[in-house]
Amino acid sequence: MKKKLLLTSLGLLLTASLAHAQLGTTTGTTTVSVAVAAEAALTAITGTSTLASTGTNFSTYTGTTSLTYFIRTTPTSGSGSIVLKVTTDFAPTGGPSVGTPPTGTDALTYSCTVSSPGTACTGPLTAKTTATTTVATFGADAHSTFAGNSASVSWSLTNDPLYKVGTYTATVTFTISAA
Amino acid sequence: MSTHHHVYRQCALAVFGALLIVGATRPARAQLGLGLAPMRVELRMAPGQQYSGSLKLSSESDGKARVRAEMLDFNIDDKATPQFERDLPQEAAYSCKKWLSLNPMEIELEKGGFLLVRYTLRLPTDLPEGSYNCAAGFSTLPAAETPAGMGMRMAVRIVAAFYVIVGSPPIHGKLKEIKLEPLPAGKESEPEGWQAVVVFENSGPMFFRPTGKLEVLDAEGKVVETTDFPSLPVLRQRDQRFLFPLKTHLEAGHYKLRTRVDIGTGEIQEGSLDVAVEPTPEAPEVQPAPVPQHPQP
Repeated sequence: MKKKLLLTSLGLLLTASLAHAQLGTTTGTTTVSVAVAAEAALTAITGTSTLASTGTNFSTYTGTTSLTYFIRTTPTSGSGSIVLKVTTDFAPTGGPSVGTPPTGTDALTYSCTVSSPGTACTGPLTAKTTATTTVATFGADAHSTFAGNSASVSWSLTNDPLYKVGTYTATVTFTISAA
Repeated sequence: MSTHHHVYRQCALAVFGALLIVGATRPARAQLGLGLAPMRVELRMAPGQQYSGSLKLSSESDGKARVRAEMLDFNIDDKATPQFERDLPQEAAYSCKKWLSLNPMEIELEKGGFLLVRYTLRLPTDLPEGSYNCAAGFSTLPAAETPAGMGMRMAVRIVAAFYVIVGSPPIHGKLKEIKLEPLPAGKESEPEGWQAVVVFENSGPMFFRPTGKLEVLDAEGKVVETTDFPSLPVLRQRDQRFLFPLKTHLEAGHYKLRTRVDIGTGEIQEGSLDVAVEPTPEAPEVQPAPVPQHPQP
């Protein structure tokens, strides 16, 4: 009988001890850290943009390219930009050209619309085949929305009567960076 | 009954044919996009040292995307626009492009997919102290479809900039010039406004990023506009222009452009310029007085 009581007491003590140990585990703490880096993304919403002349005779060809950007820059030294360049000139030959237009005053120009936190280019600017030109800039501590922010480029291309009748296509590359 | 079936079949074929034609003539409006982290990498390294890390490249395209990687030179042009190119001969002496390698170079990303791109920098053993810069660029191939009629195909490139600092190069730079320039003419050939231009000279072996403000003061000395300096690098051995398009419409009168900046040396450099805007829309008359510069400890 004595042995039985002793064993029961020991069992109770063990149970209490175990219960205490479990309570200690549940109230334990741990440190979770996450490194939040500066990052960015850029999307051209449509892979192509059509330029159309819809006004009077030889009115300028116009069109729009829509973009979505995502940005998070560092608080002090962060910066960023979206730029564009005509990486392949209009082809085939005989039509408009950014690099060697048939008339010197022909140009592919654009204006920018950029939602905050980006700052739009001060346009109109002339697109080039030799260098990138600005679309948007971002300062330090810039944060886009989770769904991204919108930007767009409105194009104007001279409608020169010297262009041969045909269909002409160029390639424009948009670059996002944080130099 | 059989006549009705025949008519229905003809109608169905016509609708199917029309849909086919619409589908063939209307180009697919594919979305192209890329994401990258980190966008800028700064490393302190010793000559002969090798370092490897990774960049997380993600797809924002609405389908499978083919991406090409390339090592690039870069600089900031006189319009304060970064220029990333495969080869900028004038940057050869300060570029880390030739020591940078990327793996893989040809990438295929699924919709919503991502990939860790490994970069490695292997520095030469006889590299002089100084800062060196280069970039890793990732480009989508242009959209496969062609626009309906005259138009453009789009491609997207995302770039990570690398700054490699060897040793402890000192910063040698100064505020060189302040000026006011008309912005490019608009459609009606009228000036769109004015921009202040601040020029820094970097005569040393280390890039720097000026921090500070540019202020526009009216004739009474009241600040009418303040703009922070953008965080642009002044790369080594060059002059770099910083542009500040003014939001304030400058009526005829006298103004002062004033700037106070720290280029990373711990001392404030200050400069100012008096300008007189004439009533005509032509270029403003700029006072010939030299730019006073008062470095302050």
